[in-house]
Amino acid sequence: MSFVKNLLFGGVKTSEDPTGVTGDSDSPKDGKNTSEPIVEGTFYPRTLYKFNGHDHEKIFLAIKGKVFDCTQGRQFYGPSGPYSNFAGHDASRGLATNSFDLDTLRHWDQPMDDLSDLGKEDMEALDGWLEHFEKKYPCIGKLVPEAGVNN
Amino acid sequence: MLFPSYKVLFTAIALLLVTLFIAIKFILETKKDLHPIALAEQANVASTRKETETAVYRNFTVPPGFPLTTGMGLSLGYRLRNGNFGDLWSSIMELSGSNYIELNGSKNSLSTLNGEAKHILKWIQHDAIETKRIGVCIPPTEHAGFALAITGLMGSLQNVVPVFMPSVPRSRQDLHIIAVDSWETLRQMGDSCQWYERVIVCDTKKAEPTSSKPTNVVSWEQLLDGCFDDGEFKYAPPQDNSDDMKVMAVNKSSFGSATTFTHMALVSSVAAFIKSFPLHHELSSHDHISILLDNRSTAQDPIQIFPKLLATLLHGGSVSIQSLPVSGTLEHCLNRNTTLLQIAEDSALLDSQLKQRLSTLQKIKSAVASNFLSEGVFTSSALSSVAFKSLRCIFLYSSVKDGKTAALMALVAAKPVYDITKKTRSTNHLNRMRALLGTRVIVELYCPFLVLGPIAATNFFDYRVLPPQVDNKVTNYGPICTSLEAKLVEDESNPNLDISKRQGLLCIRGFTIGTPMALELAKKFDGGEGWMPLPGVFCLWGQDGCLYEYK
Repeated sequence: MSFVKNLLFGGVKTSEDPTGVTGDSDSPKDGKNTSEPIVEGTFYPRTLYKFNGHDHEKIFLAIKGKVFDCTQGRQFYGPSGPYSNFAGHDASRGLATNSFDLDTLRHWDQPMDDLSDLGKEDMEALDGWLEHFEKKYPCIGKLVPEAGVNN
Repeated sequence: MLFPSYKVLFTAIALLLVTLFIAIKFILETKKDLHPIALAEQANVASTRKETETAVYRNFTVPPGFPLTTGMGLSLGYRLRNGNFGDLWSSIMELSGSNYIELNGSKNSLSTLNGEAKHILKWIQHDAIETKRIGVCIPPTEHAGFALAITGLMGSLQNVVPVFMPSVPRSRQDLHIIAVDSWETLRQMGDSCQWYERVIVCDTKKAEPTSSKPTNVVSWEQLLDGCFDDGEFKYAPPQDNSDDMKVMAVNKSSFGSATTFTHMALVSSVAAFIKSFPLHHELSSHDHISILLDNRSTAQDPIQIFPKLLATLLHGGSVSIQSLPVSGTLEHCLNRNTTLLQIAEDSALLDSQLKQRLSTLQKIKSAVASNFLSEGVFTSSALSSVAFKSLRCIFLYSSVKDGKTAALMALVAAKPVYDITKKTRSTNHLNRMRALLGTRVIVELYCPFLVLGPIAATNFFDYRVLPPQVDNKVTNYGPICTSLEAKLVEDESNPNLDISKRQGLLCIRGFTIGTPMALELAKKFDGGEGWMPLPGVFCLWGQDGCLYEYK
């Protein structure tokens, strides 16, 4: 027992190094590293897909080319939430048409949806959603097509 | 016949050891002040970060999406407002009774100081139409310095701006009134005393008066002529909350910088201090805070004493402020009623106290207490002097390594200072302090002249002993305070730091930051989001969410 040993030999319990300055790896011991912040920037449909609440604890979705971190809204966008289909996808068409169907979403290896066939009302609804997301969730990057995959 | 007796003896010893083992195990598991999991996660970290920055860190008690500590949360009809010095002081005066303010060993009732401040304010405002700026060059440990500071803060809600200065200015400043310490200082000022409408000479006994007194000079005694004790200070806030955003004070540093603080900064800092106490350890009327100013940087940034001072008075407690010579021991200087103590981290008083010879029994007690502390169990069993019996927490004031560069906001000079190592106490030494003084110890990181109150402070219950290699390279300052949020940014002046390992230049955002004159620099790291870089302050975030400054 370290306490008795320290007491007898005049030492004290030393905590683990939380800083990494001793040269030991300062990443979590389980190696999963899921708590490390994601670097904001450019996302492709392929790299966005994994942030769906299943494959990664964080939940990102895209609207009109902007990627939002919706992890705080797990009850809506997380697994078994009413909008879980949108997680990890470009949710623009679904939100514009107020549809939760899987048909409104493009798979990561399909061309990106340019929304050109949407009517004025749908686009206005989508702009309203975009405004709502901008107020509620941090925008963490942009969604662009990946060369050779989405075009 | 010997064999059975040995058997009994061994059984008894074995039983004793097992009992001891279980007892220690029980104490260590159940008496910990804070669970190791809580100590390992002391901050809320944003889920994303920009490429050249770390994520934004907040205190664990202020989750993302929740507002930072912004003030006192006072009601104004159905709305909440942050409050200002007027609210604080009127509540303090309502609660005042037997509590007092001790300045360099001399006790003053709150009604005396309140009466003096109101009297001086009336004199300043006499026939004044425009805003009066009053320069205070006297430390708040002096009676006059403290009374003038309260006068200035009271007046800042009307048409007075107090300007706290380390010394009498040598060039013409935008000041109407100046308060100097003695006739000798007035003599040294020469003709420059004509720059001001009024010059107040505070300590008239310090030196012989000048032979010919200029007409604009008034002595402290003349100023207080007709003054009486007054236990009342009434304040009615305006409906539009405009007082909360008024300038509370201008803080001038010895480096030449000037920072403007609003009342919002003051109340936010007071509120953050009050909130920093954990459950069952809150501030109360039994508290007595002693602020010992024996460090140059603390003494020259007098405004830093006010958040803790006002928070304690707000709970009906008392205050002692002392400026001290470096000799002597802490137990001889300290007011015996002291429950909270603020002192510079590198104070010689602490060193002399902790280096005192201990008896063998005291050494054993200290070793046991240090061991329990390192396991997370607080004990005051090794208390070294009855002088510290009431003491429950020590706040160690530690300034950022390169305070001058930060105060001047000079990024040009923001290169890391390798040749000077910042001297701080190791975590093992802090536990020795906790053991011998029988008190909690909180280490606070300050950025003098720029931020009111600490930037970061260790947890009340954090007694961890870090590996010596860590203590040699960095200093743990705990999580960021509740009225601020912070991030580290990549900076070309220090390419050795790796942002992906959470190392970089400290940037802060929140409500206790003053407005410096050099705002251009802020734009470099800002991105329009209100971030304030602290040039020369290089830190890293630990996995525990704490801020570690490079030594």
